Amino acid sequence: MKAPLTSDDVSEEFLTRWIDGQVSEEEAERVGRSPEVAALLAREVDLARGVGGLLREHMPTALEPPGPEFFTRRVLEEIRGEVSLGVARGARRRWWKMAWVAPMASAAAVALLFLAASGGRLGGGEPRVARAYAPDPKVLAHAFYSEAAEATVIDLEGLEPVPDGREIRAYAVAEAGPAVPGRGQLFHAANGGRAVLALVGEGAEGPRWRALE
Amino acid sequence: MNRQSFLVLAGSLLGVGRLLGQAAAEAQVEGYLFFASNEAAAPAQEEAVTAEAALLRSLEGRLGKVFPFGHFHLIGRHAQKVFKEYESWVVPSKDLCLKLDSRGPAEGGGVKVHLQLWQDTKVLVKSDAALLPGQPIFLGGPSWRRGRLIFVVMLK
Repeated sequence: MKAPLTSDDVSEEFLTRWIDGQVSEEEAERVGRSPEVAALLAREVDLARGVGGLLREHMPTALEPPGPEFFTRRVLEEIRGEVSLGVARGARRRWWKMAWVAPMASAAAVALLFLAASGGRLGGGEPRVARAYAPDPKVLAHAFYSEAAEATVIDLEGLEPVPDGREIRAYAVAEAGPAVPGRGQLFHAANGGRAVLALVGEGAEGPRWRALE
Repeated sequence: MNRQSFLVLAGSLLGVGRLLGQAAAEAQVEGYLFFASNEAAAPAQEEAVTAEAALLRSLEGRLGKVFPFGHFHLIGRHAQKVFKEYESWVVPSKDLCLKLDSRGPAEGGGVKVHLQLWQDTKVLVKSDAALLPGQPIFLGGPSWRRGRLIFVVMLK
């Protein structure tokens, strides 16, 4: 039986595999026999998750990450690779740890990451089925193709339920024309043609609708 | 011609130019909002929303293969052209609506889209996907009243 791991055994590569859940049973067992290392790894995992949340909060809505894995292992790999350039090896981990918790650094990291990671790929390429990304870190978006249903499925887990007391006002809407400057876009009922909704604005907070009846 | 008349004329010409430029729709899509539930009774709606019976039966059957509910009540629908280089909204309900950006034709006769599903002021999910003939996209949304709201978008 190998000796329990010590903090000196926790390399960047091991840490990445640990966060990604890719350590062997033997390695996990060695961690389990070292309370010091287990606590260290727990802190690192919390830190990585916190950074993922920070990045999601800072991300402009117009940008999407290259994939759903972006906020976990890739975050660590990319930021370590890009941000720590020129930093002495011995000082590297302490340096990036400090950077994580600084909002300015995280905002700068977002810009750097997206430049590095997107590399012109955003908006290009044929999606295999669908790439889905939920900005809320509490929400998981599973995208897959269902052969049985012959449909692409994007299943969202972790969404806040709509309160039971809330009414969902829905319509049968016919074709809406292009937006008219100064008037917004009108959406007409399928039966009768009366306008039922107007899109009166749009911003970071999403669309602003006005019910017309 | 005074300055005001010139601006009106220039604005009109620009508007006409934009309309001509966007005249060619890339696709026509249909968005459906379903309430999935194990209760046979549909939620009360101010206006009954219907669709072609065969299409509805097909969609309900296909939804049942993905989402474990016994009933799929159609509560909203919206047909909308998707224009090249323009964003389009598919709004069967302002409570849950879909923003579509065309990303050009897809292999197989469909269209590549970037879509965003919005609930009020929150974007629930963003996705790059392909809308292909006969292959809808199901978006499993939030739960509501012991059921779940499901958005379906497909080529018309």
